[in-house]
Amino acid sequence: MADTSQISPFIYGCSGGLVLNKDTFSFQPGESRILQNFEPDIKGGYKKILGTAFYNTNIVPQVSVASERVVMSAIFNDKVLVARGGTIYQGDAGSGSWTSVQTSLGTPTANYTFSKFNFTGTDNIVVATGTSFPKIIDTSYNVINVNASGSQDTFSIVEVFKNHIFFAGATGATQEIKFMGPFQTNSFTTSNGGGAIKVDTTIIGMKVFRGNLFIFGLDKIFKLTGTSLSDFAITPVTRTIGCLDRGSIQELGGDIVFLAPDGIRTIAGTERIDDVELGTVSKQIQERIDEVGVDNISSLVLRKKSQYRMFYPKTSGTEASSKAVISVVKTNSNTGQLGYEYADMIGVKPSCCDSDFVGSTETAVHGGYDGYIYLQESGNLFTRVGGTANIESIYKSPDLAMGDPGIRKSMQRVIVNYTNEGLVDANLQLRYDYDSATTPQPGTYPLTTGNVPAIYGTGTYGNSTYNQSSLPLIRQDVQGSGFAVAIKVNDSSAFPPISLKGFELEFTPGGRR
Amino acid sequence: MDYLTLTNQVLAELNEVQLTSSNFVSGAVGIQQTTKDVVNKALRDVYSSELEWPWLHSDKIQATFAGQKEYALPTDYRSVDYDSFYIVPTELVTNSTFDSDITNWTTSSGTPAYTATGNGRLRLNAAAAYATLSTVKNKEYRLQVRLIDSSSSGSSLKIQVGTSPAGTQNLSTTLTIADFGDGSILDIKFTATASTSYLTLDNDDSNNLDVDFVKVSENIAPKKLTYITYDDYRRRFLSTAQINSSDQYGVPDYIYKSQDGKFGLYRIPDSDGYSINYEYWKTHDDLSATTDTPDIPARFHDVVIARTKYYIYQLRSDPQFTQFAAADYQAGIKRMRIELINSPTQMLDTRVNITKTRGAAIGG
Repeated sequence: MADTSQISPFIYGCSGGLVLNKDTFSFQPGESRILQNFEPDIKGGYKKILGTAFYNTNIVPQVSVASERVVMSAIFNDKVLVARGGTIYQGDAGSGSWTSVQTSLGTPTANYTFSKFNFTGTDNIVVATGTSFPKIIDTSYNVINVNASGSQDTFSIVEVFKNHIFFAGATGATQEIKFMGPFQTNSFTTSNGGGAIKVDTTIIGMKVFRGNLFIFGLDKIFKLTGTSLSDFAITPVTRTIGCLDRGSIQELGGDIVFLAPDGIRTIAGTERIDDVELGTVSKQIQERIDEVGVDNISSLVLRKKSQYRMFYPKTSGTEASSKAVISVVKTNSNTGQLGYEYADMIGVKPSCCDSDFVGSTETAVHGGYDGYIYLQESGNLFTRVGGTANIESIYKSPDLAMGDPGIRKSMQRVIVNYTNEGLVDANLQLRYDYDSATTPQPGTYPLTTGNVPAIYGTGTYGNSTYNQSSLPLIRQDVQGSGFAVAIKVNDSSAFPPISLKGFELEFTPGGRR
Repeated sequence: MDYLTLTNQVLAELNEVQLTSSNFVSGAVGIQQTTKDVVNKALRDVYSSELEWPWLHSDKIQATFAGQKEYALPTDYRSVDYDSFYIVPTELVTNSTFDSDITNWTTSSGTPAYTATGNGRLRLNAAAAYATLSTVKNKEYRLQVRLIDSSSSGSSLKIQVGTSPAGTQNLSTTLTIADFGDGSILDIKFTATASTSYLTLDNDDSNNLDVDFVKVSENIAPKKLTYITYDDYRRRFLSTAQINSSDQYGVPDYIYKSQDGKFGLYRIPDSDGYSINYEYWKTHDDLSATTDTPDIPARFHDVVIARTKYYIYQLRSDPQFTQFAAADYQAGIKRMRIELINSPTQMLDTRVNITKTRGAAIGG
């Protein structure tokens, strides 16, 4: 029998997400130094993200110039309502043409905000453009112009709370909130239950959460409680933290998530700890948060993945270089704790986005700077006007010292545990000694399989493989040695996503030179 | 195995990242560069473990100069076989054997040609060619010509030596082959009458006559030079050799090793026409280019690999594998000695007046 007594194993599971704020010795093995276009998988591990496709193959018609970006993409009435150049259109998925719903809204200066409500048994959506009176659109695409006395044609923020429609963000009244009476769609009068409230900060956004209306200011956050004009009351949540961009505000995992100057925060967290630093949930990616510009932030949540995506493209940047932060609420399998795990997403450039259910299917769409509407979570490629692009997915582990950074590890084998949904064509790499230029770095090892596991009753003929393990292991012989070893996986294929679960590193301990 | 392959062989056994021809010269880092360096160190160890590895053997021909008693040894020598020194007359014909061409032979008539038949020959077919010789007036020379009549025609080759091309002042003879299929060798002497002589080979017929070799040298008998120690030289001959008189010059009889990397002759040569032939073992050059190949036969390259691993394991503080590699290396060197180093089966006693019989052999 072969003597393997000199070979030591080191095993870790992929959990913890992207971590950028730790020193080499503090990293937990499952965390990632690079996690690009891999998302923390709520089923465990890191899974390559899905691609994008055209929601509708026709471009949203421009009004004035071709450089007009899409400023609203809202899922409503199982269609998508979009806005470009001051006109709102509605359209189905596929290749049908876009139908104009409302024109002459003025040249957009920022993304429109919208809120969906149903006061009369019919779904409605109210849109605040910042350049015209708000519009309320029903499922027949009839439009109500909210121009009653008290309304302003520069409302840019809207939210529906306790059967009242709240507006804010009007030019010259940036600290004021106006609301219509209960079930009112074009009346701000007090006699109908309408009114106005002021706060001592510029209002950035509003969000309903747990029976309260949270008002995000530039440097303060308030909470509006009550059910009507008679008992509406404002109380401060924090007077030291504000919100950078209303496009970042989403509800995820029982909290409101938003971008504060010091990172991504949760409302519940901020309340609980009374504005101490611990309220920030993105400290592990603070380096990335510092990169976030405020050209145009937009965000969405993928409910079934407990995932929050915050896009922060540069207006002048290309799609290939545009970035987003992926945040997932999941239990870390290494620590057993529920928390936020992060990843980078690079390759899509949303101008605005939304996610909601179309029928029973959760759908995520975004409008592009190029005038098209894209469907996220679709296919295995990024779709762009010029064609498709492969998704460049990279995972890199921390530099693993495996117990003793002073001992050389002569690597013998890496055992990769993963799940796949189809063919796999990825590359495995080992990087020694912190990518040292004076240490020989081996080339890539192919990580391929043609076997697709399937559960009985779900497999398809010619695609699934009988008796295939659902958690396959690849034993890859590797070369090289170093005092620290990092695992890197690169998947730039057009194949279905691979989900990395864990690794076993087998090495022979060497000397201290 | 070339340098790249040797290095990669070691890296492979260490399970390290191997090099390619594109990054070998300037892209090696860390253990790769160390291994490259240590391959040369291991080669030096192998070379140094014996003085006279056969693949390092070389020959040297040293022309003498009248009145000069000491001559520098080759710059790349590490050991000289002082029993191998012979004095022979200098070959006067440049390109006397036509190994690869007929350069240094001038066309006298027709179209002399080169033929690769045999080990390379000069083909004359209605053609003549001559060579220019540096001779000494009134000295006698030996001429040797081997001729092959490849057309089996019976044609005659004219062999002429004179003071001009095709001149016959010193020699004019012919060589004809009767036994077709075999060559014929002419041995003849001539006395030069000028400092420049011309040797002409001429075939008037339109048949192929192939000249295998033409050798011309002064009529001096080759002889073995006897090695004496420098002390012996000083004791016996130094004072005589220092006399400023050409009376002390002559054909050398003795060879000695000076104390400054030279060899000396006694008697001091009286002519420029001698050649000293001897054997030596050279040093080697470190491997440098990707495709450089060591002189060691390929079947022993594993010994170099073992020695390289020895140093690498030592570097990596792995005493156990260091010992394994050292044992492999020692076993390899032992095998090489057995196979490659000639062990004398006889010993020659060169003492005199012991049994009054020189060369009494002692069976070994």
